[in-house]
Amino acid sequence: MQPHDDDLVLRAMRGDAGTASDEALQSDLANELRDAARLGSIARAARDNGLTAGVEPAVDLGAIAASVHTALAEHRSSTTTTVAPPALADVLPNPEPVATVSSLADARSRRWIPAAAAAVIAVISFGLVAVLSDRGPSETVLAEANLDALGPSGGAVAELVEVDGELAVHVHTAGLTDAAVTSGDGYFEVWLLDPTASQLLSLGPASDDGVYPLPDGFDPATLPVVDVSVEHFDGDPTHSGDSRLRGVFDV
Amino acid sequence: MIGGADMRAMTTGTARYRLSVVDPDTDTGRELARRFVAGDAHALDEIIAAHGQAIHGFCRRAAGADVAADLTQETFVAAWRSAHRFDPERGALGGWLTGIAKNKVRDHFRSRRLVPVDAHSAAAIADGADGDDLIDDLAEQMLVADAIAHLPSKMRETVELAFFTGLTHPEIAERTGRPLGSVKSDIRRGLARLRRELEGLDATA
Repeated sequence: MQPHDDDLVLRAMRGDAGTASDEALQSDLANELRDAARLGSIARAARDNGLTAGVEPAVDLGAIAASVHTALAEHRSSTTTTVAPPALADVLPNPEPVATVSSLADARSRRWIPAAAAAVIAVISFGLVAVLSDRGPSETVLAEANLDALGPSGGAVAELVEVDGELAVHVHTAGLTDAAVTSGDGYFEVWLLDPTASQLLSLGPASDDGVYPLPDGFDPATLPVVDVSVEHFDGDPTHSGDSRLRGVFDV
Repeated sequence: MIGGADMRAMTTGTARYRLSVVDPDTDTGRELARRFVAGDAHALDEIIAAHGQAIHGFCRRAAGADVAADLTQETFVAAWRSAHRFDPERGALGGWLTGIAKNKVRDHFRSRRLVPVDAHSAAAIADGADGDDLIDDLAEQMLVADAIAHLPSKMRETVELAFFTGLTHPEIAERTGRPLGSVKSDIRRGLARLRRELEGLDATA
């Protein structure tokens, strides 16, 4: 998108009349402007109507889940014609465990815990691929996991390694791309997190094939989540909330 | 190659990591949605945990607190039975679920010849607005508000400044202390995420 297109989108988001210029009639941009205008109009109406998220009274989600399962069980026992959803083992296309997608935005929300649980389940069922590496004699690979490629940037591998007697995390991020990094506006950073993402340890800016020493006496089990985020050159040392890779270790 | 048991014995305090790629420009729940479509009952529980609050909030506002829990339950039961019809390529799961909830609310009103109870909606009915339109509007607004609330914090701040103020890109960059390129990229990606929610909603209809 050209810079002036960004300006047109911004004006459309605000419902600014006059965005339907000649160049806006190109179909892709016209669709984008129409969507931006629709979203802006909805967002402002939501705000004006006090429909901001977080104002709803808390709901007992466990009770709702239980009632859903009860209803499904009653339905199954009262009918013989309805085909119940197939069992997990029958439908999973790939017997290999699957990678779990989550983001740090979700980590701050209720969506994180189930994602973490799923990741743990995936890891537990994942057959150990342990190799003794043939790389430098000073680095011993204790364990390695092959990673699925789910997104456009390919997969990634993280290993816990011992280098000259010290523990380190070796993260292979080659192939990971992001517009902000490509354009020089940002960089990838490696973190360790606890499962609720309330405690973080930065291991520093990522390189394609980086080894990140862990502090002496640090127990990796206390921050079992490895995370790679996109950070901007904004002087803010905290996590951007924009995660690109994440995995949970199994001890 | 060494075996798993050997590994456990020799690597106290060490770890196996498994990374997955997060594609932030699309639905972060894609993998969960895939398991849901595949009939994984655990995925149903996770989806209720992730979306139950928002769905219940919509049902409560549209139909009242006394029936909100029932309509929420009906929504997830219907979603589970028609999970095979959900197509992540056509929109986000949150939008799709909201679309199902919208249908449940409509059925509720039709079966009982009732009208929406939300105060805002009631005022609009007095103005002669159509009940179905009100439910549509409420669903869209709650979905978009919830989606904005779940954007990464910096992206959320940027998108809100774009929607709700007259600031230019450079002014937003100055206000947030972020590079101009990041501001533009956040607005584009934020809009794309919100658009996917609306596409999910439209895909149910």
